[in-house]
Amino acid sequence: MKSNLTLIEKGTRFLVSYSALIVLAILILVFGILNPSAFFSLNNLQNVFVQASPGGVVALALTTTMIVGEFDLSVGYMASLAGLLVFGFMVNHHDNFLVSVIYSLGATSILGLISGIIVSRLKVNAFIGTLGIGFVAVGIVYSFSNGALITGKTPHIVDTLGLGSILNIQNLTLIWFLCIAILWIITERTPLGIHMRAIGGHARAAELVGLPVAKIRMCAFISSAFLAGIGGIMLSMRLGSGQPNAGNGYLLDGFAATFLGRGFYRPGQFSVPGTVVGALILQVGYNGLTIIGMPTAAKYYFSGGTLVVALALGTIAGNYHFKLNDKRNKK
Amino acid sequence: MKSMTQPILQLKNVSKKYVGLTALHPSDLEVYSGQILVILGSNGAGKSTLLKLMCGAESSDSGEVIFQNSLQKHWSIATSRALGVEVVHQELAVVGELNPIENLYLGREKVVHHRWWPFLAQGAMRREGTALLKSLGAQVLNLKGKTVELSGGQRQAVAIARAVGWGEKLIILDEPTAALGIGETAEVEQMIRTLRERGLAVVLVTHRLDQAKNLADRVVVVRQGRIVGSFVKRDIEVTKLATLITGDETASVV
Repeated sequence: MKSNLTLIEKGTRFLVSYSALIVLAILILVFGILNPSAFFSLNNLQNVFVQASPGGVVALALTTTMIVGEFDLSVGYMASLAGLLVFGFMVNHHDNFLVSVIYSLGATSILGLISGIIVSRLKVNAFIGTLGIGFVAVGIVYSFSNGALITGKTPHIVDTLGLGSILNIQNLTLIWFLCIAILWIITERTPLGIHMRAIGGHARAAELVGLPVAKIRMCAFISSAFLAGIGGIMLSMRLGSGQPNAGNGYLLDGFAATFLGRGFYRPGQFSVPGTVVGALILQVGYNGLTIIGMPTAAKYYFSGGTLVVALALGTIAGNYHFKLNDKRNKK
Repeated sequence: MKSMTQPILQLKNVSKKYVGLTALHPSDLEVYSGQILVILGSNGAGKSTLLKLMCGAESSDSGEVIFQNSLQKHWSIATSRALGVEVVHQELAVVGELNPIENLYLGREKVVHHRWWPFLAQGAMRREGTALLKSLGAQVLNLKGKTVELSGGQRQAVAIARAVGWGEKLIILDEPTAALGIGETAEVEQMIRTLRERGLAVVLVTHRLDQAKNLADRVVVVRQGRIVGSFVKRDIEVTKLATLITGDETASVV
């Protein structure tokens, strides 16, 4: 059967399956050619990965809800909240690092649970439900800090994790890799992963085979808030302070990364490897534009443009791919 | 034929009322292993209500459900499934985004436990799933791609195989060929015959008279919430069925 594919069909299939990876390769190639010594330096590669790491974890957070067919607009605010709380507990309350992390992630997880209840049990639209919870997170940030930055003496481990590295790989990057590995195993190698994809693909069918749809969706919201909290804590460790709005921008980057990721691994679907590639596309782009001396505005043109073009190409190629399948099935 | 075996499922005097509407008047129905029972009727005749009562998706307002000679006091989807009853719903049988093997095992995946966490036994699922499809004569060509990319017939084959994999006693098929072309319908009908040959009890809900004639060992006709006719294979006549479905003595078959 496969041998009957024409060259155009093979090409389309390849484009649909690897479009995000192709975009990433093109970016690396272009920036590598424009300024090879700066772009391919070890320092710069470390930079790309470490800058992608906190946002990369927030994008993974978003992926968990996207896989089950929902979305979470609160991830950026959750990241800000956890990043601020962890410094607040360490600096103002003199709690140790681990306790501060547990408190912070506990707080975001509880908010995630509330989002989950609102969306999956009370059937409130995720757009409204998670935006509302996002604003609650902002409220907590301001109650806790009056909108001020929190900085001061922190345990040594904060600097070690935020700025240190092992074998030339920054610790924050290692934390991102760890999150990727765990989430990949859960979504790709366990029944829960299949159930999540089934719910995202066809919730009613999943319900008919007896899957606990509401419960799994609720777990996705809790994991999303938990991971967003980790991303926020990573960012604050890198910045060396808790900043009230530090993670807010991660929402849009996260969306861009997850949608770009639909062009890799599971074409047309959200997946962990896809989101990782999406996050790298954005970061390589931002980094490359800075290296070749483009102004800040270019970063926004790039992320918006890449997202729209990638989605449009993905949709066109996807539709063509379906038409080919249809044609083949009818033969 | 009927007297030789005990029915696997008996509905005695079951009925269903919704607010302001009697969906099914008190009715009796028996389902036998190794037979295909076709339930015929036009839209809104009560076929779906009968189907839901058979699989426990709805509870009856009266009468009793007996499965394998045992009176079922709490007949629900969970109970019927646990006893080996599976339903293939027309549009909702498979998740298009999953691959055929994932669909076959959805909700009942094979796992290997590493410490406390269950991991998918992907190799075993692929091997056994492929063997199951093959044994039913299902030609699913791409087991790794999305199910939505398969033809309608292949998707239905996956749905039926899924039901067979779990429902080892009674398979209820709700309009399985409604959206299929001629060739695909023939493939699915062949699969249904294979189920009978395996000794399973098969209930086929359809509105197609030709299908009833070709496949059925028994036909039950439902009209306006009542069972208005029941025939064994040798007595099945398409014109008679058409008359009963419509209630119109002048009804003819084109």
